[in-house]
Amino acid sequence: MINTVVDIGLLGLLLATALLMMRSQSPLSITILSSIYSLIICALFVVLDAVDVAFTEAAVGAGISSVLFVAVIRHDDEPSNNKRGNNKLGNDAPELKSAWPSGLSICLGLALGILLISGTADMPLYGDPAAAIHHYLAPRFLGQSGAEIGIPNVVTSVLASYRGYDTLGEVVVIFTAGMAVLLLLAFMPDQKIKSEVEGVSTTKRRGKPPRLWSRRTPLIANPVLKTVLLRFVPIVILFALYVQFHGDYGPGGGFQAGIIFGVGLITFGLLADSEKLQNVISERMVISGMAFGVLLYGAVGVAALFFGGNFLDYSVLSESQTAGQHLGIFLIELGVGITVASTMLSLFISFHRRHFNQSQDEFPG
Amino acid sequence: MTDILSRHLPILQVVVALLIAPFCVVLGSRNLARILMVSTAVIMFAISVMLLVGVFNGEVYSYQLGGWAAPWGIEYRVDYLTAFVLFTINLIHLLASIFCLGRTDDNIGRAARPVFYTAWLLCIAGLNGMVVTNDAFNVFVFLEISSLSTYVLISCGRDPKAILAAYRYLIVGAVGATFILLSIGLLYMQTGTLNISDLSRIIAERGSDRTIIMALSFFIIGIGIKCAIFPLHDWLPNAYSFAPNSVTVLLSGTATKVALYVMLRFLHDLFGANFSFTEMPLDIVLILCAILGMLLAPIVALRESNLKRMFAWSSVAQISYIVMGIGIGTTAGTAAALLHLFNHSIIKVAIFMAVGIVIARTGTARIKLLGGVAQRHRFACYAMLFGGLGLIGIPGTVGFVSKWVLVTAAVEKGWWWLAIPVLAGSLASAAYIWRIVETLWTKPIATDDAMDGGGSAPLDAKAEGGSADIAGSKKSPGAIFRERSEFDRTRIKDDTRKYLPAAVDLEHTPTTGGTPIHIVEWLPLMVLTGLALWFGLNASFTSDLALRAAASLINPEPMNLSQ
Repeated sequence: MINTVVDIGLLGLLLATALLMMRSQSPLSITILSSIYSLIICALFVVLDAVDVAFTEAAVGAGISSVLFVAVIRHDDEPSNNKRGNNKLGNDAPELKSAWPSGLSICLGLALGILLISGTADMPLYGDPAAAIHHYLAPRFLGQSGAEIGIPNVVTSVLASYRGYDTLGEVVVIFTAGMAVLLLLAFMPDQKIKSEVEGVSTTKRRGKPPRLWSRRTPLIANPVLKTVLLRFVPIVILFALYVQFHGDYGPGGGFQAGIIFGVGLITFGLLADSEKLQNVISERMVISGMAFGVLLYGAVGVAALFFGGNFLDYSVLSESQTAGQHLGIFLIELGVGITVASTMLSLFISFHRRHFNQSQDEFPG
Repeated sequence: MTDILSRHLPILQVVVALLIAPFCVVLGSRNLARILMVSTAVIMFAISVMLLVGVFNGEVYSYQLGGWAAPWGIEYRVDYLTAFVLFTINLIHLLASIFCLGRTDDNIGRAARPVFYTAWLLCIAGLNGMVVTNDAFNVFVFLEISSLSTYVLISCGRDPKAILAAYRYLIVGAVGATFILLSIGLLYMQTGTLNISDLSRIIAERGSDRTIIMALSFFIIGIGIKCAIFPLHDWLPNAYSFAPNSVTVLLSGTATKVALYVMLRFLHDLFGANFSFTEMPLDIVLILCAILGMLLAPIVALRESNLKRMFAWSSVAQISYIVMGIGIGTTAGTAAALLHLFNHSIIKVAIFMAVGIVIARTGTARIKLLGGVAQRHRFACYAMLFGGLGLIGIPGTVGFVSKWVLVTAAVEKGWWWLAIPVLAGSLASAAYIWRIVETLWTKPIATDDAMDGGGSAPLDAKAEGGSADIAGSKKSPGAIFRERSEFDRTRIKDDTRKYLPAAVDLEHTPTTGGTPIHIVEWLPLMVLTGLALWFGLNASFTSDLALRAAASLINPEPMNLSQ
């Protein structure tokens, strides 16, 4: 009973948020609404007992992506970057034009919805013990992973060992996204062109560009935020390490830990200063970190080849099967964590640098 | 040793590129990254050849990742079809990555090169992973890798519109990927497994229901976007025409082809031909899309003013022939589809290489401005013409071979009327190829004065368009400037006959009209043209291969697992 009420309540909120997002005209409020949407989804994941997915959704959907959206809106809001030039500093973001989707897209959406609902007719109910998924692969995962892999968290066993290759693929997806951001924001020609054409290199400019993340003074001057920074960020980072190394036993693992770690450092960068963050972790380190995580994961797989097993067969890494599995899972989770954390940081730093360079070109020195 | 190597071949096919890619970034050196990229391409091609030979010797490779047996772990499987597609895409990749070393994409800066090569390697690793895997979810993971890197590769184009084209492809492609993921999720829900052979068996046993039907329709929509099947092709012309030249070359020969492979694999293997084509009217749907595509796309191509985009539209038309073969559904039809998949890959890649060479040296892709170019870039233009004849399907070219096989397959099935759209489509392609011939060969060199600046002093790319003094030009500089909507800035600069150092920079460093065609550019083009010529005259190897591949898909022999 109470479950049904919670489900309906959350789904209702989700629908309401989505409708509000469609109606809203300000990019900033859409960003806020989308982070609320993520939080509701996150609660739904908890209801579905997928706590580790909920971690990730909270950190990425509500956290990092909102930060990046706000950065883009702020960037556009700067008078030097804003072609319209009618937004005063400190105004809200520019307004969007149309608030409602066209008739065609509503029809398509409705048709898709009807299809989806009609397809549910033959689906097994949620939690139905007779459903096919509980009878084919799951019994072995639940019953034998303890003996075959030796760690209590079955999710980690499946994700890191039985289907470890998919996870390697996912890490590479994240690495690819990091490379994409590097190519788009860090190397794109226009910033270099601009400075070279004018015969002035960017470093020669002395003017301090407007900040992207905080306006005139660093946010750290605010005592509340300073307390948050000093007390809260270290705990977040400590928690990330806990999630990383406790993933074998409870919900968690490399993806969640990497994201929480990244969120901790990004919070630091937001509150203190991005330059201070780059003093702690340089951009070069971040880029190497992205590659290192993938390579560590791959190296475990290749090592298995040399020990005579198949790719990613951790059992051959040590004398006993479970010891090998433990070692392999520990290393690959570490690789996942490093790549994910570095990629998140790289996103943040790239956005900041892009803004910094562009504003510097246009900011009177 | 060779035993061990041959056992691990399927995984090496993918993992080599996957793990060398991060090295390119870490090393950060352009030259090292180049060497790594090309040697990876060579290794991957060698592996694909070894797999093909192995398959010819009667082996069916089955590789258990992580040492876990199939339905629990992920399985790689290589049969005739897989080996055939792997051979095709790795051949194209090898030639494309050699081509990529040339000077057709000077806009990509030196500092960015290693990251560019990383994205390139990730793209091809993803595509190989989609082909070689026998696990539905693994297909999705590698689809994501290849798609993400494709988006960013496209956005590196010379024109700022490339970013917009990449963004639009990203949105459409993400929708497609979501549909595929939904479909895989539904299949897992109904069967409890992700292994394709296993899924096929279970679906055949339990019969279909509405959820499976929905899974099939979602899958077709999703993969249709990735294949650019006619009504879902919208992203392709923009993506191909704004992408860097070498990226267009790579994508046209690999990305859509792999998506078509996945479609074949899912329809025949996973859902089962009986369900896809008999229970569901998918044959009619596919053939309808194919007919529309092969009739309408050439008409759009005929009206297109941009050379690269014209050939992109021609890709949409040519994909339709492959889709028709898939829709026919018989062994002969599938073999025709596969044969055209290979043949179209080699001719279209050769065409895009030639187009890239011409564009890089003239600085424009507008057909109107390319009059008389054939006199200067004879080799590239003849290669383009030869490829064009293949697109039409003139007897003696590879295009004729595959269209002939396709029509034969249609007649065999009793659908002789399919020959009409095939013929009409070929005539329409003849029209746009003739238009190119007319412009490149017979038109006077109308814009050469403007292009060369009449041999006068170099004009700075950054000089104001209105005030640039273009000697010997009858039009006002402003008018010429407006005319060259896309690559204008590159063209104004190119009057020198020597290389400009790449360090000068990035986007606006032109390769000049006088730049000789470098060996890395003409060699792959020559190889491809040679292959097209050879397989056009002597099609027994390719058609035999395609037939075996189709047979292995439709009537799988009892497996002899090589452990």
